Formats: sequence, C-alpha cells, structure tokens
Amino acid sequence: MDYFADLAVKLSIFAILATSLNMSVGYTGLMSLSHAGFMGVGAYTFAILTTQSTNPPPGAEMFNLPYWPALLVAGIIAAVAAIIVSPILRLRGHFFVLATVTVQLTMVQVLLSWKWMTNGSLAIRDVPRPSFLGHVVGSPQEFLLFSVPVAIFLILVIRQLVQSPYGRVLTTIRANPSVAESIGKNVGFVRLRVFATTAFMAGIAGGLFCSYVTVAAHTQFLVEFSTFILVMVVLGGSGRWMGSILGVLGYILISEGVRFIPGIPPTMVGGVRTMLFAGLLFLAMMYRPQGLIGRYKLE
Amino acid sequence: MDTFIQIAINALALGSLYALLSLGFAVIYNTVRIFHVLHGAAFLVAGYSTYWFTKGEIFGYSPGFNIWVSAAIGIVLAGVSGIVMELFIYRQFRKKGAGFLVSFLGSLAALFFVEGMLITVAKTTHRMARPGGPLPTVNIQNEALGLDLYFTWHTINTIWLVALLVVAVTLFFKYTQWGRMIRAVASNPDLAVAVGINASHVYLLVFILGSTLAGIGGVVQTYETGITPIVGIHLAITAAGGVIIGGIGSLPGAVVGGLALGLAQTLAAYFFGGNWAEPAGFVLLLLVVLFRPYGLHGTREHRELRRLL
Amino acid sequence: MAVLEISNINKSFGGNLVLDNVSMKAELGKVTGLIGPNGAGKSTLLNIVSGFLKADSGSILMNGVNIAGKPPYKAYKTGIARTFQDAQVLFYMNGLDNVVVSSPNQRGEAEYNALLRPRMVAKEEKERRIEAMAHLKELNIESKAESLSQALSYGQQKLLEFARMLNSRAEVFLLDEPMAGIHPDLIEGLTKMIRAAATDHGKAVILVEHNLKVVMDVADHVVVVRGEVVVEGKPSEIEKDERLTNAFLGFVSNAAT
Repeated sequence: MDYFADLAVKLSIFAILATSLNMSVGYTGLMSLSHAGFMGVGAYTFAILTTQSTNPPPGAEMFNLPYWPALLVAGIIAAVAAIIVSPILRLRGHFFVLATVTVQLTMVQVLLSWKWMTNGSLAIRDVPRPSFLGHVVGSPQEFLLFSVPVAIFLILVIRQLVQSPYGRVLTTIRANPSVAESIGKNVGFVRLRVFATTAFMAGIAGGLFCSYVTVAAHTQFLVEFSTFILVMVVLGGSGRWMGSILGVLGYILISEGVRFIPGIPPTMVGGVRTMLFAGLLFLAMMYRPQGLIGRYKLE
Repeated sequence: MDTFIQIAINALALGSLYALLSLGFAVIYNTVRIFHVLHGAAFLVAGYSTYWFTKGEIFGYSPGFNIWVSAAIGIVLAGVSGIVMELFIYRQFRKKGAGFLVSFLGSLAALFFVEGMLITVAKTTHRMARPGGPLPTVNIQNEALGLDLYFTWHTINTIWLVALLVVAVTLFFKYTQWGRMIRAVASNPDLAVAVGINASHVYLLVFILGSTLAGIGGVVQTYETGITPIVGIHLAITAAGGVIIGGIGSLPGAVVGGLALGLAQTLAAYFFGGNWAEPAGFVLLLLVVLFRPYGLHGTREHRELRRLL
Repeated sequence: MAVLEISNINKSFGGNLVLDNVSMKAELGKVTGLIGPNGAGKSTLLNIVSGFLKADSGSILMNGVNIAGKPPYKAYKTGIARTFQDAQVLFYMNGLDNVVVSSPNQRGEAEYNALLRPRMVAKEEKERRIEAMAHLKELNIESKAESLSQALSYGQQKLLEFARMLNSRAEVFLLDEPMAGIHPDLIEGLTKMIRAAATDHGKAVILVEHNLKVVMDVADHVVVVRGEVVVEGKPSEIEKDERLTNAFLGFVSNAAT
C-alpha cells in the first residue's frame, strides 16, 4: 500500500509541474525546457530555509522558516529566477528554446557550484516533512494529505486562469503575437507574467518534492527531467489542462513499469527510463505532435 | 606574465576543442538550418567507441585494440552516425514538413535516447581511453622569464591538431568541388538544385563532415580527459554557443566563437574556481543571444519590426 | 479637426529613404485611400501609425495626442485598429473567440479579476460575446462562430478579421490591402462593408489598396504616395492627373526608388 501511496504523491507533485508547463507551452506558446531548473531553485530554497541537518551549508544557517512560509518563499524565489532570465522571452522561436535549455543547464550548474549556499554535490539533507498538530508526517499516505490539496489548489488556479478571458489572451499570443499586439495585448508583459507564474508553481512543486524525499540534490533537477515534464505535457496533449494530468499518469505508469521488466537489473533502470521517454518524445514528434488529446499540433 | 601564458595555453586548448565542435555544428547548420543538438551524440559515439575498443569490455568481450586503430574506428563511426541521423531523423522530419520546433525536440529526444543507452550500458563513470592512465604533466620553468607553466603534451597536441583541421576544412570548402556544392546549397538551395546539384547528397555530405569533426573531438577528449554520457547536451549547447557567438552563417566565426567560449570558461575557472567555468560559458552565450544575436561575423539581417512573429 | 493627423513622417531603412516628409489626415466618417506603386512606403506608413515601426521623425496625433513611437498595444488603446496583409485570423480558436478577443478593456484579462472576481468577469464576458456576435451577424458569418478559424475559407477569414476590427470600438481603421487574394465576386460585398464602416459606423478608414477601381469607388479622399506624397484629392479630381500615372510609372521623386 505504501508503494501506491508513494506513486500517488509523485503523481500529485508532477501534476503541478505538467499543468504549469502546459500553461506556458500549450497555452502561451512558450516552449520552455527550464522547468526542472525552476523546480530545483524552489527545492533548494525550501531546503535552505528549513533544513534541520547536522551539516547544513554555511549559507543556510542564518535561515529558519516554518514549513508553509518556506514553501511560499520557495515559489517566489523560483519566480524571481524566472524574472531574472526573462529577457530571453524576447527571443524568437528556436533561439528561445535554445536559451531555455541554456538557462536550465546554468541553473543546475549554479546550484552545484555555489557550495556555500547549497553544499554543492553533497546535497542538503534532512529537509523536514510537514506536521499536523505536532505530529510530523511519516508515511507516504500521510504526505498525500498535504500534497494532494496543494496540487488540486494550484491546478484549479491554472484551470481558472486558462478558461477565463486571460486564457484567451494566452492562446491569442500563441496563435499570432503580432495580431495580439495589434488588438491591445501587451505581449511582452503577459509572457513575463506567465513565465513567472509557471516558475512559481514549479518552485512550489520543488519544495514539496524535496520535503517528501527529505533531500535536495541537483541530480533531481536535470535537463533530462525538464524534457520528461515536456513529454508528460505533449503526450497528454498540449493546450488542454486536463491532458497534462493524463500525461503524468502515463509517465508514472511507464516509469514504474520499467522496474518490473524482467532482465533489467536495478542499476540499469535509470538509463532504460531515459531511453523510453526520450524514445516516446521522439515518436511523438515524428508521428503525433498533438499528443493524445491535444488541441493542436506543435509546429 | 606567466599566469597570462598559462591561461592562454589552457584557453587555447579548451577553445580548440570547442572550436572543432562548433565548426562541425556550423557546417551542418549552414546547410540544414536546424539546431542539430544530436551533434553531441556523434561526439559520444566516437568517444565511447574509442574507449571500448581499447580498454573497455561489454558482455565479457574485450577487443583491446591499439589506440590508433580504436581512434580511427571511433571517428569513422561518428561519420556513420551522421549518415544515420540525416537519413532516419532529419530527412524524415523534412518529409513531414515539420517545423523547427518539432525537429529540434525530436533531435533533443534522440540525443537523450543515445545518452540513456550509454548510461544503461556504460554507467556514468568517467572513461578514459588512453592506455596506462593520464599523460605526465610537463613543467616548464624559466627563472629569467618568470615562467612556471604546466601542461601535458595532450594540450599542445589538441591545439595544433584542431588548427590543422580548420585549415583542412577551409581548403576543402574553397578548392574542392564538393566544398563548392555544399556552399551552393547553403547559400541558395533552390538555385543549387536548379543547376543540377543533388541536394540530398549534399545534406548527407554535410552530416558526414560535421559529425566526423565532432567525432575527432570525441576521440581527442576521451583519450586524455575522459568521457561520460551526460556531457552530450552540454557539448551540443556549447557547440551551438560557439556558432552563435561567432556569428551564425560563418564558419570562421564558429571557430572564433568556440575559442571565445574556451577563453571565457578558462578565465572563470581562474577567477572563481573550476565549477564556475561552464556557467560562465553559458552566461556568455545568453548575453550574446540577447544583445547581438548575429554574433561577431554573422550575416546581418535587418530586424526593425518591433514585434517578432 | 481630423481624428488622426500624420505629420512630416520620415523613415529610412539602411541608407534608403522610404518615407520623405509624408503628411496626411483621416477624418471620421470618411474613407481615405492610400495608393502607390510597390515599395512606395504605404505599408511602412501603416506600420508606423499602428506602432509596429518607429518613424525617424514626425508626429502622429490621435485625437490631439502624439502617439508616435508608442508600441502597438498602446496605439490600439487610443483607438487605432488595423488588419494585416493576408488574413491573420487566430488559428485553433473559434470564430467567436477570434472576434471577442479584440474587445477593449476586458477586466477578465487580468489574473486578479480572473481568479478573484469570477462573477463579474462572467457577466462582462457574456455582454462582450453578445456584442461580438452582433458583428458576426452583420457580416453574415455568425454560422462560423463555433468553427475553428482555420476551417474557414480565405474570404470568410477576411470577414472574420473585419468583424474583429468592428468589435474593437476603434475610431480609426487601417486596412492593409484587404482585397488581396479575394475572389472578384466577393470584392463588391467587401467594398460595401468598408463604405459602411465609415458611413454607418462613423469610422475614419485609411485604405491601402492596389485595386485602384475599389479605391476610386469607395474613397472620399485619395493620397498618392511614392516615398513622398505625390498628389492627393478627391478620386474624380486626381484620376486624370498626370502625376498619378507618373507615380506608378516611376518618373517622380528620388525617394523610395
């Protein structure tokens, strides 16, 4: 039972990532491969603010925030990171994607190199779990009670946004930015808000994630994972917020399914997973760019 | 003074490797107009082949070839991988009329697929192909000139080898028929086809050439410094970076861009520590993309319209 | 007093002077035709007025306020709407959304309102949809309201674009070669609509067009441009004017050759 609860926790956290990336990619047309990086920024921020380890990074010792404020700050710092790199939003199509990959690689490298604040490759340990009336969450089932409401809340926020006139502005920008400008939409500013908002959500997901696994390590937030989140979005169908959740489900099923394939030793599981999802993304690009229930084809 | 020379040597060596990768990338980009991130895979293929044929073992089988033979095999395989990439990936995307984004993501996916395959089979440990371990460091000291330099022969060899290759490539494009055909297709594909040039062949040729160059880089790197699967994407972005910094559309620019990245990284390593080398390179790339997207030598395109579609 | 006064606009690209001291006016209820040979600077002028390009010098007064140099979305807010060459409808959005989106001042477009004031947003959205639907009806494409815009024929897309413009509540309409690519049978209908926009809706229409017959039929005032203003006046006045023919044949100014 613990096993399925564990999967459910991951489902809830990844759902936040996929739905927010969908808002950026599917609705606004911002193909960003830096989502895992923002998640990492949020995760590390949360870890730095709350760690109770005996060996924290020196820079982290001055911080000590309670759980929920720290989670909020994690999201905010991720949004700040997005705002810092926001000049790349001016870039056209392929330069933009390239820039987001570069930003992703740079963010991870900074997390790794800024040892004073992050412990570098040693990672930050003993990140706390949430507690309810004095009882600290122990099992995955208990963590579910926290992660699911947060996920539902954030996803509902996204749903509300994309189904409102604001959402229509997003799809207009994706469809034709020049026309959007010509009918009064401040395209640059809207893109910035979307980029920052989705980074904020990725940051919160990051904080939740490292709280669940109690560790913040740069290896959890690599560019490959950014691509996997994109796979979740694309497979589920970009431009439909519900599709992302299907995509996450598919991702988790396949990801776990790999473990049960006979003949694959545990050490190889990571590599096989990467091959599978990379392969899926490739096939999707080649044969079905609109995903399972996508509203439109990536062009 | 000697710090200056030391930095120059290191920067030149690192920059030469990047220049080689960028050159290969540029050769492909100029003709195919795709950010061919799969370029990293050619590097990996050559590097791992060299390693495996020399020192490695798979399923109990260990070839143990001579290093030169392995290197040659590695380079050839890199070229072959280029053919595979063009025939089975890019040509298919072109046939479907896929736009840039879909091709780019497909290319990225393919790169990660290759990386995943290598991780599965070879794990992420650093592999070095040179039999017998790393080369000894040479130390040149000269009291009079105030020199105290450290480098290995590998460093020096990298520099002149890349310089040689750059010259060879330049001559190829200037004086051979194939080189001219490639330039024709690169500058005006429709016209080139109209005068009878077989564009499909040219595309293949370009991928062979570019991937072989990347492969040479892979062999050189694996020989001394070592290789691990996850560098694929880092190198692909670095190669793209060299091209962008030096100016899209320009081959000499790609070389200069690669050297510039090598310098930026070496300086960052010197001032802030080795860990900051790579981020420094990427920050340089981002700055150039934001403020001078056509780089130093690139073809200047008039961009006045305020809003870019 | 003209609603839109364009004064002394100069624009160069590289070394080329494309617009040389160009001035013109647009008045409410009137259609002003802007004609000239290819490369004369007509589209450039439209781009400058709508904010997509910055003039090197000159002013653009919209209701007395100088909007030169303002970005397109700000120009829109002062009451200038434009179309683009080639019907630019928004793909993957249906006909109605294509039109409603141009409704100005939609409070639901801000995150704050969308999240925290859903009832107000829903009410406003309902009103704007009714307004947009009326424009679709006016152009006889209300049946396409639920259809995805890419499924429409080219002519219908042009109409959709026009409906979007009507819905914008703008006072000035900039039309960039609306007749391009339109089947001859549909030209008359479209021409009537342009006339109606000015006469019935009271808009100031600037019509850039290569189809000279349409321009002479529908315009109250015509400006001939070839880098500079060559001649202007009522259609009947300038039709026979030598300068008009010369402008198209290339015997006039140094600018924009």
